[in-house]
Amino acid sequence: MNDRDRRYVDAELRSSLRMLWYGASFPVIGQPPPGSPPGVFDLGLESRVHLRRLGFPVLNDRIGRLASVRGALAGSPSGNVRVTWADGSPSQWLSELSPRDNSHPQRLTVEDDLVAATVMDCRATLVVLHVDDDLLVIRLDDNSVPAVAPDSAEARAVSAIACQVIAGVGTRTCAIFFGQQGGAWKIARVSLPIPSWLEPLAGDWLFPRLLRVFTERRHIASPIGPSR
Amino acid sequence: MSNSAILLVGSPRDPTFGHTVAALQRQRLDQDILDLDRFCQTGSIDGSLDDPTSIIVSDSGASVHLASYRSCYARFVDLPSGEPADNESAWGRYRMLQLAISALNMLVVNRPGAGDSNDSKPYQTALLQHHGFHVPQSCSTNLPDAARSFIRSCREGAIYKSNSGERSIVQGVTEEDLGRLPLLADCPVLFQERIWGDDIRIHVVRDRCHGVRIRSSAVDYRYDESGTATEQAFAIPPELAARCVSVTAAFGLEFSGIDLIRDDRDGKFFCLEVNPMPGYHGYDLTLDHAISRSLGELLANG
Repeated sequence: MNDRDRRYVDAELRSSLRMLWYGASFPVIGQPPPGSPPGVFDLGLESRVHLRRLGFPVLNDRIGRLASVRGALAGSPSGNVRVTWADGSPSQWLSELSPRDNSHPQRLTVEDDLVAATVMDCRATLVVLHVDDDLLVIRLDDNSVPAVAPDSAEARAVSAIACQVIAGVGTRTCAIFFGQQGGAWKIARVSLPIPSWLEPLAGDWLFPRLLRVFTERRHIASPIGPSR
Repeated sequence: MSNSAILLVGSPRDPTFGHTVAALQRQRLDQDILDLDRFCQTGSIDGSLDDPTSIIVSDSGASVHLASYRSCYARFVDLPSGEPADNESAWGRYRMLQLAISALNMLVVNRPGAGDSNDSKPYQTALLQHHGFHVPQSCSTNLPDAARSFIRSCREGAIYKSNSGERSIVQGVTEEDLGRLPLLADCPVLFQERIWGDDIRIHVVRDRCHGVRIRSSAVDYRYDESGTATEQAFAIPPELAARCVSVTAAFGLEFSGIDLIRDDRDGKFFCLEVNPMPGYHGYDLTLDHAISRSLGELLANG
């Protein structure tokens, strides 16, 4: 198979999967409302641009060449800058990067590449898990993964934002990631569906709820149409 | 660079972009061009996404504030393929430029990301049905038996095409094709009942609609080589026009190209697709530049 054919098959498979997730005529967990651009919920940067336009508080990103971004951020707290590569490579904390680092040979010319840099107060991330209006807040730190007490100030802050997003998106399940900027918790991304790597971190909270939602699905997929 | 100028982002390889540039020049609209191909090879961008006025794009020694323009027409066609390493950097610039333009507060025709549903025809077909359009019975599958069963259920015949936004030539299903159904295991295909009738293409520029009727003996009129295909202006029924305007807005688009077929039997309009980045130049010539005039007026008014 040549590159052109491979690209075609990849696109066909992706679009078919997207239909299963977003376009099925039966209820799907995490299905956004009709008309929602599917892609914006999949990628952090695109998700933030979309949610910002809807008026939600989202993390600010600075975009530019890494060299210029590094210079502009020189006064920011050390190690709290997250870099998102324009080419889709996994994000990294800026302090972990070195153009001369042999573990990142593909980054040897990184100073000229375009990136998005997000300056955060700390590396902690709060994740709000949502299943049918039930929320669980998880805090992800470098060393530990304790669940946040529901009545903590930070849990209340992110839950309030999450409820507005959930109402806007109209989904039954999602994970909303938050980072801290300027002392305030702001949205980093909205993930539909809940990423599987979060499941073990949610303890006994997530699985029974997901199971309940799944077992409610009694419909069978039907083809689109007919409309006569 | 003038504050009243329109920013045109696109590729010189793209005939629709060239047509748009020429059309706006004829309308004496002040414009600046950002060459997408060149930007993706050598350009740079800098700024804060939550403050679009801070975003500066540099290319070939010139730097501009994106927010200084009145409006923006953006056609993000695929980049030419090249060496993988070069391509990664180029696609990175492409993505960052899309993000920057998405973040702008001005009129953008069309905002990157809007109309993403076009990447999945089955998904978009379901949305179109939700918006009240008649749509053909459809079946996307990689199961030979499911395809065979669906094809047999289509009394007027069936057609097949790609599921994704990748361009494919729409073909009618033949007896010979039935023998190739086992190949579906490698790649799903979208099958639809065949609707016999005139093709109708409607371009929506915010609240203005421009219709063209195409008569062709080919299943996919874009590839009709018979020399007998004809195009002419089409008077759009008001209810259909209203629905086209409504779905365009619902998809977050300012400009769309909507493909329909008018069923020969009962005159019903079946909607096939909403193109979020319509290649409209051929239809514009048929309509004596009516589409590009509407587009120019929209962009000029910001």
